[in-house]
Amino acid sequence: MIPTLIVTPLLALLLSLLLTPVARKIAISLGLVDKPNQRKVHQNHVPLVGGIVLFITTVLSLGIALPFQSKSFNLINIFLAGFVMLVMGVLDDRFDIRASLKLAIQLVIAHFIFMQGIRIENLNGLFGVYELQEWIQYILTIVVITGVVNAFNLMDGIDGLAAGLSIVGFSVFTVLSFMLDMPNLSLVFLTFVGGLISFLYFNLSKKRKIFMGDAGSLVIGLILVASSIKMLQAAATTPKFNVTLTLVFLVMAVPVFDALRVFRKRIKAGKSPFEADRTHLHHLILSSGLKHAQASLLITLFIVTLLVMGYFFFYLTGVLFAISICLTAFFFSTYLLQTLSDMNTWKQRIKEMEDNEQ
Amino acid sequence: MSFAKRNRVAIIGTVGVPANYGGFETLAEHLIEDLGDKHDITVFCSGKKYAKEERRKTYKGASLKYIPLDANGVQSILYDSISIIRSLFFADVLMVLGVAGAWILPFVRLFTNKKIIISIDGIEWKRDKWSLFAKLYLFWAEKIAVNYSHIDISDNEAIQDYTAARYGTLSRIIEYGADHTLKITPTEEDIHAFSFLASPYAFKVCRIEPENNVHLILEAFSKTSTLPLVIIGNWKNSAYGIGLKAQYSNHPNIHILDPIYDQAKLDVIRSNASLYVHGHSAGGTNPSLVEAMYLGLPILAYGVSYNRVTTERQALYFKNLDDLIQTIESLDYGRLNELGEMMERTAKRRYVWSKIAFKYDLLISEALRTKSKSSITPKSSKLQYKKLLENGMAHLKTPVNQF
Repeated sequence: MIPTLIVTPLLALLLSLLLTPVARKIAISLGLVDKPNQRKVHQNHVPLVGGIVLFITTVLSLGIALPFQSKSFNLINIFLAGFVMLVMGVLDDRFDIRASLKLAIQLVIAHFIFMQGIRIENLNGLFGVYELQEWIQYILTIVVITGVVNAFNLMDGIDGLAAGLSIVGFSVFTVLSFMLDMPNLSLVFLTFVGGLISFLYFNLSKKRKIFMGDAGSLVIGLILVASSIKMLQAAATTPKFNVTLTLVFLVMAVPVFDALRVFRKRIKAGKSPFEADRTHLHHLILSSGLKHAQASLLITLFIVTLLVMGYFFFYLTGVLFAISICLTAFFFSTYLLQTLSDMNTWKQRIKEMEDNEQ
Repeated sequence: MSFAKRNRVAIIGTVGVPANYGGFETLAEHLIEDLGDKHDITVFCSGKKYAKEERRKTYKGASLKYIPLDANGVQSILYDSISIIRSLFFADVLMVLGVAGAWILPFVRLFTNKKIIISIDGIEWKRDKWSLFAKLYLFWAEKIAVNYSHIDISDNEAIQDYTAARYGTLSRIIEYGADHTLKITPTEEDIHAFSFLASPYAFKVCRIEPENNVHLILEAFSKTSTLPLVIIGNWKNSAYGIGLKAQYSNHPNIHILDPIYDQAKLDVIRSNASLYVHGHSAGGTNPSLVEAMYLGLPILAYGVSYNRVTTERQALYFKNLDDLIQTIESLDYGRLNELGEMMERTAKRRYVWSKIAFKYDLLISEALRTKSKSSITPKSSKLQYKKLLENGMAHLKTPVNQF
C-alpha cells in the first residue's frame, strides 16, 4: 500500500503537469476562459481548466492504482456524482447557467449521495443527541452537502486560495483516514493533493495562468464533504468520533462561516444574500494591501492555526469548547479585518469630502 | 434659589479643572461657570495631573472626583470607563467628551436609564499620531459612541456631514469658545526680549507634526520675504521637528521658538501678529484657530473643509506650496485688516463661551426628554432599487450627501 500512496499522487502531479498546457490551448479555442469584469481582480482572459484537469488526472491515476487493491468500495459512486458536478461546473463556466438550475442539480447530487448511504446519521452524544430520525438525517445531509459545496465555490476568489485550502483539507483528511483505517480514502486524498500542487504551480504562474473554475471548486467541495460524512460514519461509536468531528468541522469552518457571515451582512444591508460584492475574507485581506498569493498564504496559515488550536483545545477540554474557541477566533479576526477595511473606505470618502469643499 | 429638581450632570473625559490643558478642559471650566447655577455638575479629573495638595472637593460649585490614571493615551480607555461607571451612581446625564470609553456605553444603555451626551471631538481615528491599532479602536469606538448615545456632538459642519453619511444620524454642532483669550500690547521689555515684535510678522503655534503642514509653511516662508514667520512648537519631540528646526533655524525670514509656557508671553506674541497661519489638516474645529479669530487676526489657513467652515469661507486658503507662496507674496495690508475684522466679527458671534454653554444646556434638557436617537436616513433607502425604478422614483436612491 505504501508505495501506491507515494506513486499515485506523483503520477497525478506528473499527468497534470503534462496535460495542463494542452488543456489551456483547447480551453482558449473553446472560449472556456474567465473574462475580467469590474468585480474580478485579474486583467486577462484566463483558461478555466484547473478543475477538469484535476478531475481527469485524479481519476486516471486512481484508476491505474486501485485495480491492484482487492477491496471494492463505493467511491466510484462519489466520483460519478463528482463527474456530474464537473460537467455542470464546466457548462456554467462556459455559458453561465441559471442559479436556480445549478441549485437543483446540486440538490439531486446531494440526494444521490444520501441514497448511497453516505449520510449524517448519528451525533454520537453531541448536544445529547445520538441516532437521528431518518427525515432529519435526510434534511441535514442535503443541507450540509449543498452548503459546503457552495461555500467552497465562494472561496475560489483569488489565486492560490481554493488550492491552498483544499491542500490543507485533503492533508488533514489523509491523516484522519489513516487513523480510521480507511487506506483507500487516504489514497484518494493524497492523489488530489498531487493534482492540486500542479494546479497551484499554474495558478500562481504569470504566463501560463489557469483557474480551477466553478467546475474545480464544486467538485473539490463535493469530494471533501462526502468523504467527511463517510469518515464520521466510520468513526461513529468509536472513541475517535470526537477528534474526527473536530477536525472535519475545522476544515470546513472557514469557507462555511465566511459564507454565512457574508450572507448575513448582505441581508442586513437589504440586499440579496447571493448578490456578488467584495466582502469575502479574501477581499478584506486584499483591501489591506496584500498581494493575491500573500493573502492566500495568510488565510491558509490562519486555517492551519485554527486546526492546531482546535486540536490542542480538543485534547484539553473537548469538542464543543474547541469548536467554540475556534469560531470565536474566526469571527473576531474577520470583524477586525472588516473594521480595517471600513476604516480605509471612510478615509477615502472623507478625503473626497474634504477636497470637494474647494 | 430655585426649588425645581436640579439635574445631576457628570463631565467625563477631560484631564480636569482648574483647566491647564486643552480644549475639553477649558470647555468643562466654562460649563461649570455658566451652568453651575442650574445643574449639579461633577467633573472627573486625572489624579496623575493634579498632585495631592492641589486636589479639592469642589471647584466653582462643581464636585470634583479624581481617578488615578492619565486622561490621555491608552490609559484614557480605562480612565473614561471608570469615570462612566462611577457616574452611574449619582448622575442623570453623562456628558462624555471623547470616544475612548465608548465601548461601555451599550451596557449603560442596556442596564440604566442614564442619558448620554457624547462629544466625538474631531475625526480622531484619522490622526497620524496614532498607531494602527489605536486608529482601529478609535474608529470602532466612534461607531459605538454615536450609536449608543442619546445625542452626539461634533465640533464642525464638515464632521456633521461625515457622521450623517456614516451613521445616518444628525450630529449637533457645538464649537469652542474663544473669549478667554487676551489681547496684550507689548511692553518695551517684551520688544527687547522678542525683537520681531517691532515690525509685522506672521505667526503660527502648533504641535510639530506633518498633518499640521509645518514643512510646507516653513518652505514657503523661506522662499518669500514679504513677511517674517514666527513659529512656536515642540521641535524636539520627533525626527520631523528636529530635522525642520535644523534646516530652517538660521533662515533670516524665519524665527523658530521652543514652546513658551508663560501664557502672558505667548499672548503677547500671538495677539500682535499681522497674520495667523493655520496649517492643520486633521478633522474638526481647532481651538487655536478660533482663538486667533477672536483676537482679530487675519487668517491664512490650509484649505481643508474644517478650516473653511470655521472661518465661514472668508479667510485666505492654500492647498499646496505654490499656492501658499503666491498668497504670501500678494498680501495686501489693507485687505488683511479688513480680513482680521471679519474674523473677529465671526468669532464674537459664534465662538463665545456663554453661547456655547447655552447650547450645551439645551442639549442637556433635550437629552432628558429623549428616549432614543432618531435616524435621518430616508425611509426610501429601505426600498429596493428595482422597485423604485419600476415606479419612476429611482431618484430617491440618490444619496442626500453627494460628495
